Amino acid sequence: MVNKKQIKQWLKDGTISQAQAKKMLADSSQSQHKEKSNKFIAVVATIGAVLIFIGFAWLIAKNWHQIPNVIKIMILVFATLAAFVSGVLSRQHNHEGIGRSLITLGALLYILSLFLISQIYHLATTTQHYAWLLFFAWPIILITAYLLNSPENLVVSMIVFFPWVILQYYSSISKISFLSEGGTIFSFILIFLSAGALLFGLSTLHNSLKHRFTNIYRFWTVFYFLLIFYILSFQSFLPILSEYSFEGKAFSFFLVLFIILCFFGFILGTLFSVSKTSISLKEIVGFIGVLAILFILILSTKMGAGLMGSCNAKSCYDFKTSTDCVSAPSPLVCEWKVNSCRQISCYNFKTETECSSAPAKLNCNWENNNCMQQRRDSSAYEICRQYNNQKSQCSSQSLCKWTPSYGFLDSSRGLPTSLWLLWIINNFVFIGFIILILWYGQRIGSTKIVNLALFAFILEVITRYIGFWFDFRGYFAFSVLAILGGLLLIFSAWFVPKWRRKLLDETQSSEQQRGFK
Amino acid sequence: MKKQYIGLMIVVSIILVVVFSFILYNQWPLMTGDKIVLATQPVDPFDPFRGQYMTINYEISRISDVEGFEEGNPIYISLKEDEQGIWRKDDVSKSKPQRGDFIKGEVISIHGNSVRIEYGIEQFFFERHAQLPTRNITVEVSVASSGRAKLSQMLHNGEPIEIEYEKFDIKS
Repeated sequence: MVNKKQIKQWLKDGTISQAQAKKMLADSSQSQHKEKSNKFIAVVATIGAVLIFIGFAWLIAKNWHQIPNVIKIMILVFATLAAFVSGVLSRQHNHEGIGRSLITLGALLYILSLFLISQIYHLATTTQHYAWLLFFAWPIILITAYLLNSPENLVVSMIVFFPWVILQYYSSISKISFLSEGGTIFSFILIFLSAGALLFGLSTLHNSLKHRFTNIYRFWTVFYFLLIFYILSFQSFLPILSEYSFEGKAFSFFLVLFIILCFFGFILGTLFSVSKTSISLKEIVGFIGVLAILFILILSTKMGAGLMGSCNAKSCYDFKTSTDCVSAPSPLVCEWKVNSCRQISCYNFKTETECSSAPAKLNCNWENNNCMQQRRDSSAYEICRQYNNQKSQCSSQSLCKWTPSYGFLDSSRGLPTSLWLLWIINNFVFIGFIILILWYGQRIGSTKIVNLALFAFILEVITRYIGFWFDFRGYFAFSVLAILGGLLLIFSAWFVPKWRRKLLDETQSSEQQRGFK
Repeated sequence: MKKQYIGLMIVVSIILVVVFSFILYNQWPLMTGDKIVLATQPVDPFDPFRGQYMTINYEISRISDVEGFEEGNPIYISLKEDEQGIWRKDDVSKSKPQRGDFIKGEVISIHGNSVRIEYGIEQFFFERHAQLPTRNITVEVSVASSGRAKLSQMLHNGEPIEIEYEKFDIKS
């Protein structure tokens, strides 16, 4: 189908006559109207399917005991099969939109059947059992997608695949022991990376077979990679991520098997595609380049390992020899007694004479027959606190001691310089990747991928903006950020829809040239 | 057209096979197993996916004085019926006992020399807002020859539990 812009251009160039242009415009308008009408029917039918799904789900959640279990199972199994059969029949009778939504309803009702059976048999509510239920769901729905040529079921299958892999991984590690956050986040990134690589392999494989699911696999490949970049764009995750260890217990058997299978799928898909010469070498090199950049970014977090922690003032108990003890830095006043270094306080001085001869830095004063400290010297704590998350500077201060940590909240004290620089780089790389995806989406003519990249861009801007609100506290920073945010929103309201329209127009014309739907 | 119908037939067959295999797998201990009664300590949470249920903590859910187990290991508990008809722990082993009545579980956590075990019979689903007694509860369980158990019914004072369901109302 051609658009009005092209027809006008052809008319202007003299490629077509006025009459031809009129006819083409009329045909194009009719075709567009029909397409819009079909889309509307498909949307309404899909909403209907989702409503039926919610209705059944609610009945199951209600545990309706008035209906015998056998009847409940029969109703759901019959409804599932009826949805598939009526979906296929509707398609045969040229009701494509309704047919597709009924087939999707069949897939959703099948998931509910599994949950109903697990309820009837009082199956466990552990993560492993949920993982099993989802494992019975996604591969079967995937099969239905191919056998019944249903892109919607492929999407449902991929949506179910996502929680399955998370639950299955979580279940595989929770059996071993409680894990460090570092290892777990690193493993999640590896899972997304492997899933992304597998999907890329599948997309190239489908592309070489000229299969209609190609763009769905491309969309999900992009989704997984955007997700990884988004995780890496958070300041708080970098120190946690830096604590990974390949020997750690986060590397469960399931994780290793999953990674191997995913990369096997990736290699197989790309090799098949290359053998059919349907994939340009540039695309593979580009993908491997993105993988390499991600690995470098992830492995680079290691340079921040151990740098997170708090810098606290030493106490006398931290000095282990008598020499160190007596020469403890100011404002500490220590004495070596019974093989340990102890703090001297004003209370140690029992008479007025002793109190007045106490070391000046103790600030002692004789009051009500007691030697009291006039004011507590907190300068030591203030000096050390400024070196929080700065290991080398903290360790170089004789007064301060270093306590390592990498907890989520610790990053609020400021990242070590190396991790801070890495965070800046990660965000720039993320923006660069979004631009790359926008270009890729346009090149292959996929409006969905362009929309996804735009969504990622807006999400990145909003996330960083909220991050700044958390980082800069105080009235002035709040007011400046509020004004900047307001200006940004007004500018975005004007610019983003315009930009999006332009990108989508360009993508659609590319889509039409390539003949992709 | 023919291709779509063949696809449909394969889809229907796969779904029927998976669903009925799933049912048969869960029904098997109930059809073939021996019935035993276990002592419990119930509480009742809610599962957003499957509705109201009661979590049942059994007397044999925590066992002391055992060694050599790791988390995730299978564990076999030999059971012996007492004079009140309740089946209680007699022995513990890593491998399937050659004789006697036993139930198979999985070690979930270890604290010193005591272990927490799950048998897959820790949930009892019931209708939301239904009323049922929570004291003096025992559970009748069917145990297959492999030791795999399925919950048959809840008992109150040794009799099948009477659940009071909320009166049907379109607004319920």
